[in-house]
Amino acid sequence: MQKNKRKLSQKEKEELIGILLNKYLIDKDGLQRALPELVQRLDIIFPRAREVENTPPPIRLTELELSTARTILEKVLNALDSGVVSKEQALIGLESWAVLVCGGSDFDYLYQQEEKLWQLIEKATGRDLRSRTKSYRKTFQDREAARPVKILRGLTFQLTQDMRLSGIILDAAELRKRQKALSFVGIAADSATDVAARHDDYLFEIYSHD
Amino acid sequence: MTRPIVSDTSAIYALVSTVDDFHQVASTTYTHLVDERVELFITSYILLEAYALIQRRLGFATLATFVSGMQESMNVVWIDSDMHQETWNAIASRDGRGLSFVDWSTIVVARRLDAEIFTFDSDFLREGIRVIP
Repeated sequence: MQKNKRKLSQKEKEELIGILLNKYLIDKDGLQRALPELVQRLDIIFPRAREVENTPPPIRLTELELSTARTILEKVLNALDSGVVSKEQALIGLESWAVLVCGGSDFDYLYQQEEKLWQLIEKATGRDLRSRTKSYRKTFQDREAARPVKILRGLTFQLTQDMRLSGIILDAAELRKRQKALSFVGIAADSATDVAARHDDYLFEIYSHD
Repeated sequence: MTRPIVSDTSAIYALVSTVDDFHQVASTTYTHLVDERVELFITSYILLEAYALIQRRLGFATLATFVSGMQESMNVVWIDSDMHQETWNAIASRDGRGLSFVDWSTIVVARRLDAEIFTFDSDFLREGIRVIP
């Protein structure tokens, strides 16, 4: 067979690498069987991000601390509904929010209140961070950051040793990815409420009408 | 360490339709997965089912929004002939009882990825498959 001596363009190289990485991602075993040396190298070059992420050790919070945070947050959110939240109250609410994230047991509640999280941040910083295209960092004077708390993808709070809010960090690119990933959640309303559970029956109905 | 997740049709539909019985728990689960940057997968067979359901029941605009968002968060596993055959072997060994062919293909992919399945179909549990939520 005649050797093709044509040099690969940068785009062609990137496409080939993309195909290999995709195979590595979805069928590592298959690639391992065909090209074990390659998989070995890729394991070294691309360790999974979560395996190398430096996360601080979890905080152990008492039930009293968590219930206090819940009570404070609830009061601040109620005040927010009434439109009477000061910057200081907003900061206290955000601190309580971060404490509950650290506690790890209130995700359902916090996700349902997400709109209010952004409103509190706007009260605290004077900015609507959701629509920002550039990353943003706000630090609060006289407070030394001791612990980052990931509030959601793209949004991190810095807390002091005694759990006071010392900073807000927005990674705009990560937040955009999050917003895109969630863009289809709850965008339509079916007339039936049991489609997920009985999707095979509904599919049969669709196909039998075709 | 969080395992990768493979979504099945029930989870996808529950996410999209706001009135679905499982919408609230599905959206909370999915949001948490996105925030934790858990690797999310969906198979080409599940896409086929989800596309049919969403387009017919919720309209093409909804489908287009789903496709655009899904591409940001999920890796598509295109079922190839090996996986298809493995799926057939699994369902044939049970004489077709229990889970559907598409469900079995999801299990095949989940096993290859050492993943859990994001589903509201309790039949997976009966097969001893790890599921969320």
